[in-house]
Amino acid sequence: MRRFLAWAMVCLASAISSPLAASAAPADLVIVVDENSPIRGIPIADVRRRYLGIPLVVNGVEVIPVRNLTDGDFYEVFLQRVLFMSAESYERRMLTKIFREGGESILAVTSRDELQRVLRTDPRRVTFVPRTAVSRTMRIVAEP
Amino acid sequence: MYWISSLLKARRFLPSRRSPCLLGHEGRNVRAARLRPNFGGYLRRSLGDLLLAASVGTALPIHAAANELIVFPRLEVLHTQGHADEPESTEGIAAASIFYAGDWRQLRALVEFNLQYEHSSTEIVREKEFERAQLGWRFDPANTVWVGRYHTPLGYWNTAHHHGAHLQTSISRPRIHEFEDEGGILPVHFFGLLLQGIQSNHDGALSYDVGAASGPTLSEGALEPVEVLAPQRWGKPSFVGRVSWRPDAVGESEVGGFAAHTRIPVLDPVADEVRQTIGGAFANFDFAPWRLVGELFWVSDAFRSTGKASDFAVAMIEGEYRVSHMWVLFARHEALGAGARDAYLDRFPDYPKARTVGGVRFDITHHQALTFEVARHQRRDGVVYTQTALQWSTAFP
Repeated sequence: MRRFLAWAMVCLASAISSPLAASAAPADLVIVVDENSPIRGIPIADVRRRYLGIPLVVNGVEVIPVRNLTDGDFYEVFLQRVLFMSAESYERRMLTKIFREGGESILAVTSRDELQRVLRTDPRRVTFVPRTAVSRTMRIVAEP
Repeated sequence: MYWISSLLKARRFLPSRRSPCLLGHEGRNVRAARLRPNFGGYLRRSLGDLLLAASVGTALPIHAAANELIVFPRLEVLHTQGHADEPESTEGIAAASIFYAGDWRQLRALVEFNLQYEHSSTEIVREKEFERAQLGWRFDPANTVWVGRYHTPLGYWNTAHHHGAHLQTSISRPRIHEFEDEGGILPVHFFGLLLQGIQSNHDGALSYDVGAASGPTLSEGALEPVEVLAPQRWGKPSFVGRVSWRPDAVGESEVGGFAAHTRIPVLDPVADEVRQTIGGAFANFDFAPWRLVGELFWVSDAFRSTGKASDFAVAMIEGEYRVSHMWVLFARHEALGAGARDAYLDRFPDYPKARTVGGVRFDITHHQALTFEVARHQRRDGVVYTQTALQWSTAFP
């Protein structure tokens, strides 16, 4: 009976701790828009293309990406899991693209409040956040 | 600009903090004064025009505007071996390409201003010139129509590298892409309209450029494109088109073709006109750590006075090998087609029969590079000589 209880405790602890650990992991990344955005879903390959400068229209709306730099570690996760490149390669790629074609760089946001405000004020904006940071005003449109 | 500094911070896994810049993101943080002490009066006067243009963007509402200002300085020493009647020479070059791009809703601007100071034992040359000055209208996310002076979309190199030395691996440009004021034989700049667009599917992307503009004039053995601010000498209607295909829309590899037709007035004492038709193909294969660029040009010229047409072909191939994240080896060979005899080409006696270039680039930091290059020139009269160059280049900030 004691052995059974010990196993039960271990299983219960695992069941409770696993989701918490998963939700806390920085790699649990999602692409979000404001809840009022007409953008319903984006294939993750298109997210990558858009962040690399290829124009993208979804549900009749031009998608405008935002770089979430509130956490440097998490930004690195985004670069590796979505863009498959280092920060240096990405920077050089975008520098070269702007130098060739002109155009605006991708907006970078460094605080959560500013991120919320940017998404709220422009429904065309998409960004990446940890799943745990998805607020009630955000809607998930892609997951790597 | 701001996103570049942000990325630098992100590389160190630190939360980014807004840093001062010349023209901050979305039109904020104007700190033009930071440029002044370093470049002297010559640069100040030249930058005035550029900053005036840039300030237009900053005056617009914050959420409507996005600006980039990037400076590409370079220092270079070029040694040329004595050959034929030319003595050995060493030349020092200090230059900066100042690039500005701004978007205000559908309106776009792109300006590239080049400052150059060359010092040799025989002469000092100062240049300041708007190399690109374009105003555009983005009528949908994938298509923009531009008006102004632009780099003609001929081949790969002329659309890829422009004047930002730091972004190209080698020091020299392929001779066929040389700028007009450096002895270039093709119209590298047009002044007029340019339609630029990209269409992509789930895998690849098709890019296109179509231009209708004024071409250059030819005077005393040199092409002269239309200037932006200086007294303008207009050429004749000219046309250019380019199509390229990227199998992977976000990759670097691409293949494509291009064509142009230019009427070039000859403004020498005996007035004439050259009708020049250009066609060609290019490919850029990026298989890290290898990269291979190849270009093929066919150029046909007909002088109005004689009515005779002649043509020549030029081929170029460049290979690069990234040894590590800091070292890149490169080599390039350019050649004029055998038996080329062209009355237009004869006006450019310095254009070589062949040129072979080899070198190494060392990335000191992510934004600074030191490049060493050796080039062997073979002139059409058989004279052979060597040029050696050392360059420091950077992108700021």
